[in-house]
Amino acid sequence: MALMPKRVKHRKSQRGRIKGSATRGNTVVFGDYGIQSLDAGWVKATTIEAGRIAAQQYVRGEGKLYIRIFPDKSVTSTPLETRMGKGKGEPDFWAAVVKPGTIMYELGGVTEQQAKVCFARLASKLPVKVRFVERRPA
Amino acid sequence: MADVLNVVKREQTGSTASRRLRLSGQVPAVLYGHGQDNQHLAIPKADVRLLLRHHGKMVELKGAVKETALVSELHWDPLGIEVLHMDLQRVDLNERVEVTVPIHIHGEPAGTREGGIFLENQHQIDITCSAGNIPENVVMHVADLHVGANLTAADLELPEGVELISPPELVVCTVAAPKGSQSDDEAEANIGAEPEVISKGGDGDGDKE
Repeated sequence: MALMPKRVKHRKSQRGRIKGSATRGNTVVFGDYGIQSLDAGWVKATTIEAGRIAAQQYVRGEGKLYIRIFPDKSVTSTPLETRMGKGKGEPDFWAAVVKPGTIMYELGGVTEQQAKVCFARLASKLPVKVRFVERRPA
Repeated sequence: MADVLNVVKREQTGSTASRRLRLSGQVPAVLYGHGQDNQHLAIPKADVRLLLRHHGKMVELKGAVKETALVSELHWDPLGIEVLHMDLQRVDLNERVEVTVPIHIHGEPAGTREGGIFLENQHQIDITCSAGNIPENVVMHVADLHVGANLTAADLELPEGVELISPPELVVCTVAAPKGSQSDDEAEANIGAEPEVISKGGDGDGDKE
């Protein structure tokens, strides 16, 4: 199922600007290994889903995959061959706002080698530069 | 047992001085506790790296200050690469302290051979023990764990003199039954759907099209 919020306060949002690094959601919490963003950007709901499928095909039946980002920002677009003006376009897709440091996916119940291969497959789907991280010891 | 940190006193405090200190290969730290005055210290990065590799909690300070301390908090940079600051708490080796220690899983769960997925819900646990006897980890034996079963904090093998702070009914690990492959067609069916808009005081959609 494509990820999107169930209820929203406003259908359309302003584009905004991504400043700084992630100060929340920047540690591996649920699994043993994670994939951390090194760039800022928008990750579409369809891209998150593509990453999930790529990872789950590899770890099927073994590990557990956690998705740590959620597309809660609607992005609008104006249809092609439309004259300028006439107001803001209609929502086109949903995206998650990702800052440098954000843990995007986590994996538990697999070996480090398996996690690295799995995340390498997943990383090829993502529009941001990422790195492999382990859970920080207590 | 305790790692040794060579510390020097730092006179200047604040973000600019701390940034300069980090550039010179040192980590700013503060030592507090036991009703004494705080002391601002600087620790070589190499010592901190060694401490992290050993997962050490207790440290022996040498150099400008000669004391035993507990690593109370570590402040990391947003990417989790470098330690920006360390909090050190003065402790007496006989005094009881509250610490968080990792849980070490011992054995292979029987449930994984039955096709289940072993999941760790908790990776660390809060305990209280004497400062001189902080265990490196707490062991959980999982060999008899079958599919659908779970182990709680009460099942942890605690060393002598160690007491649990976390609730005993806290689930530490479980073996879940494997899920069937999810249909990807559901995504297709959902395309074009829009979320419900929370309107101001009305039941229907409140915003203008």
